Amino acid sequence: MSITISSKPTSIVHKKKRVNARNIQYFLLLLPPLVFFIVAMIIPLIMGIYNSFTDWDGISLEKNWIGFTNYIEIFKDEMFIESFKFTGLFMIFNTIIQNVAAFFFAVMLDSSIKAKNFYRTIIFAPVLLSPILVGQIWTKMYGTILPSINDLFALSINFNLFSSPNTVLTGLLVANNWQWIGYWMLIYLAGLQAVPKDIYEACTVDGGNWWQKFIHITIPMLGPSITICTIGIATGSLKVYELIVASTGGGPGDSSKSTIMHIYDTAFMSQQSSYASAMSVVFLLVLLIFAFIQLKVLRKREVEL
Amino acid sequence: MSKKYTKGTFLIQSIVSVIVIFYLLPFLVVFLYAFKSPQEIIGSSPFSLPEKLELVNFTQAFEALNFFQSFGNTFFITASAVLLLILLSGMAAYSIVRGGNKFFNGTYMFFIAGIMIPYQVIFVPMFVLGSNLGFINNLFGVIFLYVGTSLPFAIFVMAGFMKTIPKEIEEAAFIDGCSIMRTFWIIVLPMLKPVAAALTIILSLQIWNDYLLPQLFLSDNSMKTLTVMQSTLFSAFETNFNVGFAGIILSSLPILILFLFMQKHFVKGITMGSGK
Amino acid sequence: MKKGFKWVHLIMIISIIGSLLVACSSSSSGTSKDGKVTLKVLDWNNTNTKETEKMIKETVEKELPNVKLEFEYINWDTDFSSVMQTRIAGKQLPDIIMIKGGDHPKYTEHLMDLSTEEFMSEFPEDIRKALQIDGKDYAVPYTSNFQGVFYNKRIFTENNIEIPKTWDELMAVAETLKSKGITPFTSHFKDYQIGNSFNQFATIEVYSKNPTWGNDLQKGKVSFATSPEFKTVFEHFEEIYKYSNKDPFGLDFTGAAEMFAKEETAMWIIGTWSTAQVLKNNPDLEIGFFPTPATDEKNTKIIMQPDHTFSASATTKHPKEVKQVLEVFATNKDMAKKYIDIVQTESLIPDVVSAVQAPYVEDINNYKSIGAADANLGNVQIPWPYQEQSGNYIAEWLLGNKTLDKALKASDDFKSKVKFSTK
Repeated sequence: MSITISSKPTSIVHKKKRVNARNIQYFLLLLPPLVFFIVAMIIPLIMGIYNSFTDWDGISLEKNWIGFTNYIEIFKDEMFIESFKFTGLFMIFNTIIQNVAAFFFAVMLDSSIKAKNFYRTIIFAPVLLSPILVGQIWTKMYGTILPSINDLFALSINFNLFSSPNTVLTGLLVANNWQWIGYWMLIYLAGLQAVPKDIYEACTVDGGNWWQKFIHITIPMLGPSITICTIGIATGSLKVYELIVASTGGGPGDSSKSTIMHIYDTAFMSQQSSYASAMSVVFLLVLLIFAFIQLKVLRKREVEL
Repeated sequence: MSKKYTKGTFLIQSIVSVIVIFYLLPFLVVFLYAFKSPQEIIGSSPFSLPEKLELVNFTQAFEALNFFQSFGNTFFITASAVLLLILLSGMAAYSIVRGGNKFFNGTYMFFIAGIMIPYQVIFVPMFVLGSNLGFINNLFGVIFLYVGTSLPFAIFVMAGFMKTIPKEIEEAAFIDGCSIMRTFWIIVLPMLKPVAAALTIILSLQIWNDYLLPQLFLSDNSMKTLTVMQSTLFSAFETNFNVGFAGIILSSLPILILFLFMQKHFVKGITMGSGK
Repeated sequence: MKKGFKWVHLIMIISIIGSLLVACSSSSSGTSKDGKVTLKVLDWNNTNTKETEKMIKETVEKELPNVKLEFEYINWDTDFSSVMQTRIAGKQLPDIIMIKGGDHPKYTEHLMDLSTEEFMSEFPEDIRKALQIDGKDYAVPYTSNFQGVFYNKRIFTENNIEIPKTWDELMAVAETLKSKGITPFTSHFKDYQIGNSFNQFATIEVYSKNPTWGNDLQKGKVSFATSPEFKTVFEHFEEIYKYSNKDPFGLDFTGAAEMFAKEETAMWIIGTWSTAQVLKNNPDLEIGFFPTPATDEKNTKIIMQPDHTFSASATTKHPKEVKQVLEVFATNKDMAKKYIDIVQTESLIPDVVSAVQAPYVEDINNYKSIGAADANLGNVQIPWPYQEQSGNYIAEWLLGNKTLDKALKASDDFKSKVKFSTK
């Protein structure tokens, strides 16, 4: 829009033509990605929305239009609300813990300590495992390995975090953060290394201490990294499925069932495909609103800094 | 930053060391398990060293994973999808950022909204559509879906980077009579290398470790990926953790080695790619 | 910058090599060059799959030289339903599907009707009936599991414990053991045990009195909240929980097998699929078996469940060959015997008896001759996800998040959230 508005009235006809010709070329470049995106996501999404108004079970050859019945059901579905709460908490804690921990790990690894590469590699290593394996490993850790520390030192710490509804969230957060902090740490580390060193020096000359440097230089300069990490962690957490399936299976009871897991189970186990579609639509609407706010806030903050 | 090793540095060194021990603990257990026999796992403390190295676990895991095949499949899918993603997201980001009118801005929002769609919630229709398009038992079908579903995030990152590239060089190329596509191919694409490196790590890890898509789309044994084969090592009716954990080591070691070799480029890539 | 450039090249080169690897080794289903027909077999991955696969392939390919089998493993507890559903939606059902007894009603529309096949007449009427849907056969029965209480013979003998015949006697045994410092029950509530025990308890306490309880539930004639029998079923869990190992919600099946093998507990309410894993951990363990005791002694029966069964896709491209393979399954007694020896279970093929010499096998054979209760009575009428969900409500009650009445009511409310397969 800026191009046409800023053009001088005298050359407007000529410029417009050129702009249009250019726009066609830009559009041609845009076309292939658009095709991929539409086929892989948008058409299935529309099909899903259509399904949500039917009574299709996902297997049967029959499919009848039933209007908003499925949507009305959702608001009476305690499990959906519970799973939503769980997912929300999981996301909030993850976003805070992972951001803060990754940030500080990065700062510490950006200092002049020895064997940095070794540390970095170790902390990054869990990222290379699939969440399914992480789930299996931590199930084993909480179930057998850590309790055996109790035996060794005659302690009685409750390590089995997956066995009670009160601790299962903590247990999953530990496993999830163990896996992902290293990943975001790397992004922060990259951001830190991109901060021009002379800014720090200038600050030192002005008599600033490390804390002032940290607040006034490091954090603002990492603005874009914070945006990427926050969005990445939040969306990743909202989609959590494999880790939970492989570790707690949603239990004990229903206490660690994530929304995706509830939707997946409803579609594939309970064979209520259309109802699951309706839940997906509601979940997506919430996610989109949330994403919109997040993007606005983060981008705005970035500009201000 | 100063290179001096002060008291503060020592403190940091200690903290990091403790953290790293916590990080290593699960790995240590995986390693110890992988070398023990089932009887020894039951009979001894998880932290005891194996009496003798039970290498049979590894050969069993190797066979159960159908290692070369599944590793090759995973590699092919990941590498192709990531290459395509970088090319396509570069194209999209370029036209969105330089196109800059309402239409392109709208398209940008359209893509960005896609970041929030977890593909698990559109799985059934995705599968129905995919089967009509012949994506089942088709590595290229799976690659297509990975590209389609990961594009929003890739475009988001690409566009952020693209905004920081000065227009002047391109403008000069236009004046020389270059078309936009040619400009993109010759001038813009090479400038995207740093952000491409960063995206490569992010995307390849996601795709490498993905489970549901290949599990449901690839039924042919010759097409199964590592994650899918790994899951068969942990069944609800019979799990041999020694073999399972040996499988974890087998399937993670190559990518860990790759990371060790590529570490410098990874970090450099992100440095330049994180929107600076 | 320059290094990054090389790196992109490296990836390209490696991916080309990767694609060559893939291209070399990919094989497709259907008829191959040598005139052989490749049939896909979907297997729900339980015990000793590699050995059974090898054995089945050898036998079938020897009897039918023109057929090649290709096995695919899908974990029953986590992926089987979703994989089946997507395969059906994508019209990609494998030619032969190993279906767990009780899951059939869900898929009948898409399975081949085998009622008129010659080989089905090999099976006794009652076994066929246990798997039939609307009087039609959709599966070749192959093995069955038996469910009940597995116990540590040494602990029982050393403490002079008699086999309990009623629920109250079982609780008395548990109390005795507990007073001697022995944990009575192995419980692994972390995974499917609550769901499985739910079915066991319901079979002996509810379905024994009303064999159509599940159908009545669907029609709204009965409900969990108003059924005193189901209240008993729920209450059984509270008592088991009281006499279980520490932290059953943190223990899964593998952990349970380890615990039982280490003789840390005296009893385990489970099915025959568990013994292979236990004996792998401790080959010398003397395992005994008795049926899960009901409140009323006359309902204390061994619970039998058709387990591995083989069905065919209704849309297979090679119906003739598929039927030939199923015929081998139904008639080759040698293969059936090898199969149960590897999997350590019981065969449903007439006259095939396991060679496994273990005390629990003898016990099972003794109880079997008195008459068994069919676990699928419940499984067919109340779909497995429903049972599992009720199990989750029981868990929430045991953990103090729900009252018993609320748990029963929640089970009733879940009725609208699950698809019933039978009408």
